[in-house]
Amino acid sequence: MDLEFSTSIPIYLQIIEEFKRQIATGQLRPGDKLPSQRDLAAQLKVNANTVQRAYREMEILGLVETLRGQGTFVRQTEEIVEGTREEMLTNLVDDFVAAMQSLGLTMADTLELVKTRFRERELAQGGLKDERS
Amino acid sequence: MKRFLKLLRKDLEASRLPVFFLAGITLILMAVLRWRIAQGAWHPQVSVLGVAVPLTFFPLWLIWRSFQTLRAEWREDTVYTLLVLPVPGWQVLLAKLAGLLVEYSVLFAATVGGTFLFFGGLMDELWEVIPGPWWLAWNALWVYVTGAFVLATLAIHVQLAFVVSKMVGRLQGLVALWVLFLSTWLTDRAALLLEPLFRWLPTIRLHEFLQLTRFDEGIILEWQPAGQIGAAFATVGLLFLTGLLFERFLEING
Amino acid sequence: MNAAEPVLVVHNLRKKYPKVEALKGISLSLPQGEIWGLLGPNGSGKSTLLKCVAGLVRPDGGEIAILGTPPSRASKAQIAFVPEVESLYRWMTVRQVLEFTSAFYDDWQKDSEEELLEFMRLDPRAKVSTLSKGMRARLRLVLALARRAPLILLDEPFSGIDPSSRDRIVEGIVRQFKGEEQTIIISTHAVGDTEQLFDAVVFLHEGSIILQGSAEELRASRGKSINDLFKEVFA
Repeated sequence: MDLEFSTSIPIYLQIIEEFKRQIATGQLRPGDKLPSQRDLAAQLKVNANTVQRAYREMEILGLVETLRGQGTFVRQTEEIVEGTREEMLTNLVDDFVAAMQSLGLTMADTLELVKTRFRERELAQGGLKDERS
Repeated sequence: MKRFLKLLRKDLEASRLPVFFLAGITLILMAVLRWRIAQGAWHPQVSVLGVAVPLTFFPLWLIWRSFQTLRAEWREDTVYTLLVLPVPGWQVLLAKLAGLLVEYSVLFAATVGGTFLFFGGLMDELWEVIPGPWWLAWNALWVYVTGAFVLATLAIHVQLAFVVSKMVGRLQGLVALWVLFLSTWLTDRAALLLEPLFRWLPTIRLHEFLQLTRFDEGIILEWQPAGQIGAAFATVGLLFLTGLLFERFLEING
Repeated sequence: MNAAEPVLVVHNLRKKYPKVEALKGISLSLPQGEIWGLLGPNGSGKSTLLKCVAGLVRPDGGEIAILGTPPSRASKAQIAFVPEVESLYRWMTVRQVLEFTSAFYDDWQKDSEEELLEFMRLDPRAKVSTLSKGMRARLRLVLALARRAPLILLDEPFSGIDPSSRDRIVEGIVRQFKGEEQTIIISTHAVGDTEQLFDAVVFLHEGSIILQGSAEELRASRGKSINDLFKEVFA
């Protein structure tokens, strides 16, 4: 896990968020094994108790399950993935809308801006594909 | 035992260089003198210098060492390491004492051995008078043992004086001297007090023990150990006292 | 070892020096299995507190209990104390330092020693005097972590050493921390690079505790990093 965490917010929450993101984007699929708590703590250079707390919270949230002696795994339920995706999308959009509003844009302006930027990105990515093929 | 040996080994390794250096220098000095005498450049009496110099210097050096081995721990801050270890204080001090006696042994061997090696040939008059080399060896052994006891006693007093001086903030030198006087007075009094208890010990007839009668039939040299035994017990007690102070009452403020 | 028993209990600890009152009645209770940060500026009493627990300084008042017993030769066997000063024998090699220290502790772990030696990139044949300050700091940490000591006290382990050594030491602590059986107290004023280590922090100011709490909870409630909080409190 390559997480640049901030020390201004609880670290265990950031770990949970990162796992949620990985689940939502499909990086982590149902049934995949999470890194061991010790390994993750060593990787991130944080207290192992912090990782333990994150794993426990995720278990309570129903995202993962711990099997004794085997490790922690992403739960095998599509609803979880969907739910996580939805939560993540909602948060992203909320943040975006709030930012646009604070900059004084109307909904119409915002939608125009989004359309333009989306098209430009698709063209750039398409161009890249052409270059490669 | 394993921990005591580790402490002893540490102190011996720390003192390895200076001791072998001094022993080596002594032997070289003696060799040079002998060589010059053999060449006829210097009078045979100069050989006395080869023995007198180490004999005066080494006792002084050893007394300084008894103080220095402790002081070095403070100077290098390694006293923190010693105080944090789960060992009794007296073991730390005894290890230093044992190390000191090993240094003494090396220097004694170098001096005595060197004397016979280089100057044995010059002492024809001596060989005529004494009963034989075994007599010298026997007496040298008891000189060694006596010297060891004297050194150990002095070192214990020095250790106590040093440790107590480190427990006060200022005037440490003065405090050390004062403790030295006090501890000496204490062992004297203890010797006096305990002497009656040990009167049953046999008086040692040194003139027979050391075979001094070979020289002078009428010589009488006797020693009653009762007086010294009390002092010895008191001195051992001082070692444990120093150990206790070191372990429990000494404070290190960096 | 009873998991519920705190590894260290300090009650109303006081220590006065001729010119300053170093500890003004400190009370703490440390559970097993946590890493605590003892934070404060120089002269706040952090070193004095740790030395009292380690048995190097006699307090003037109050009680200390390490797994239920006051500081003694027996408690020294349960504690790994790394002082702020350079306390190694400079003429020893790294290997000699390890051999010497391991002889005094029954809880020495040979495999941890080898692991740590490699992780800290220490050459066993090097003399201590030839090591840089950062390397010496790493070695002193190895002495503390290569054991199963229930209580580890690190007095300013990061002060004055290069950033790469500091990171090595932080990672070394994370990797070698023995979890439920161990408690580590780290005193430091360099909070920025190390705060992710702490389960809880204690802010010490002129001999008194002015703030104490779980690191994560403080981040949540104050909305800032422990480092920022530290700067704010000790501005």
